[in-house]
Amino acid sequence: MVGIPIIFAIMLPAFTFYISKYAGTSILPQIAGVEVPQSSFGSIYFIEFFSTNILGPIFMTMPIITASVLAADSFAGEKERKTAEALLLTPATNEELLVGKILASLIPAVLLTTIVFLIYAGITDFFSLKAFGIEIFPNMSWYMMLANSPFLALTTIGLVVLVSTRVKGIKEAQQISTLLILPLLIIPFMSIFNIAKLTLQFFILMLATLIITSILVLWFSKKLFDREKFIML
Amino acid sequence: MRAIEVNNVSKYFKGAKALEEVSFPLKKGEKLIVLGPNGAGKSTLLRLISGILKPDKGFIKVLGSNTIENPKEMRMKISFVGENYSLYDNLSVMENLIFFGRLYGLEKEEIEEKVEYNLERLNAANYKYTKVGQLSRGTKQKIAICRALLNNPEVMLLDEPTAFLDPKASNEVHEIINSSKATIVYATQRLEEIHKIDGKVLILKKGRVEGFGNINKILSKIKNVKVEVYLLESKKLLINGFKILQKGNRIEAELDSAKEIPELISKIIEKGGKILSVSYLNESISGDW
Repeated sequence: MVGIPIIFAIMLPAFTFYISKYAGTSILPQIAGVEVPQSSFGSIYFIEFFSTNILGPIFMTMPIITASVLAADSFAGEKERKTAEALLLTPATNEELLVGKILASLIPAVLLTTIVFLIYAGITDFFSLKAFGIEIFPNMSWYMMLANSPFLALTTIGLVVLVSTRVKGIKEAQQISTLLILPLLIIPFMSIFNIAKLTLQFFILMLATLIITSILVLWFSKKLFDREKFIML
Repeated sequence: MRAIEVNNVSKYFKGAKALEEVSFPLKKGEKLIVLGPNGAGKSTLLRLISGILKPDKGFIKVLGSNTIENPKEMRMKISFVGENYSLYDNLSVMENLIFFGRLYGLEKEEIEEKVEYNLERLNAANYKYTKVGQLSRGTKQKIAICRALLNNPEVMLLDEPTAFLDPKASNEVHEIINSSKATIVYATQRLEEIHKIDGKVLILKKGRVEGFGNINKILSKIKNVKVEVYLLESKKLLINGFKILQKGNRIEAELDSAKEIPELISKIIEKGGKILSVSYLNESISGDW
């Protein structure tokens, strides 16, 4: 779970650089709808556009995927390993159990995403500095994507924990969670498919939506958490 | 003061009756053996007392508080050993016990001290740093019992705690229970255990109480008992009034109820038989009991 995102964070910017250098100017009109001259300026434009608008949203799926895998194991994992009963019989309150399970998924998901974003920005800058003498990151989009990541993870975790308390095992939790988090995956892909432009306004709106959604999801998780139902499943 | 008060409690699962109108009181420090076959409602009763399940009818008070009103406060004072040992396989014994001890608000040093002492008593001190996944079921059960002792519970709920233990380890557990000052509810289907725990007995059958009281009072409620008696010598004895099969020094007797056991033993001695051992043949209470 850690290796693959890091490999992607190294490989994808490296590929982007080679494409930008050798074929960027001919691809750009098809993906961005803009004509650029066959020059190093065209390559710079391509690497900046592709690294921000295509790779950025791809890496934004990282907190969603990581968080969903970790959170599916939370309560459903306790049930599957038959440790749930002992845990529920300790003095820990429902809120404490939920916060504990959420943090156990949120902290690694956010840490991994931050590491991946740093590597992806570092590799991109390494190539663009070497070839064109300019730094691409950090830019506004990069900061905003990073700022959105914890809330993408939190909303995902809230949804998956909600599912995890109401199913018998990890696989069932993962299957239902995949369906629930699909709408979240639309957000980064809106940019890839040119439905939304990654403007500051777009990111602020996304952040506000995610904050409200995560609060609502967490409130429902707390409200619907029932020890008896959970143990009797 | 009453430590546990179960008052007219019924519990249904999807309409099916699990417990019906169960009532009994238990004083502070008393021990109660809940005896019954599989599906009698023993685990449900323990889970209801623990507060993890809510009664559909009636109420349960533990240490004066209703189990569903003050769950956190109550869970600090009780402990539970379930059918599953409920331990994390990928953690060591000590890591598991520190994790659970911390949930009771205990300091690490205090937990380690208690773990050392209790593992020693349970003859499991060698496994302190072994991963739970590598232990036998019996040892896991001992660790679960050790966990149940961490918070110095005032009430202990034990659901077949000796199910995976050998006779020696079972005796160690019985010793710990008998020497404990806590109020203990001990669910079992093994007949022999009613003689090993010094306390009251509650017989459950199909979710209803069939008998409750001291062992003398409830022996007659334990029906269709088979016992085997080993004699010192192979001496043919003529014992009337019992269904008996004798082969060599072994006597197998079918009794209408457990109350007849002392009478059977008296008659064997009367006829000159020297008894080496007496044990239940039906180790556990069967479904049609």
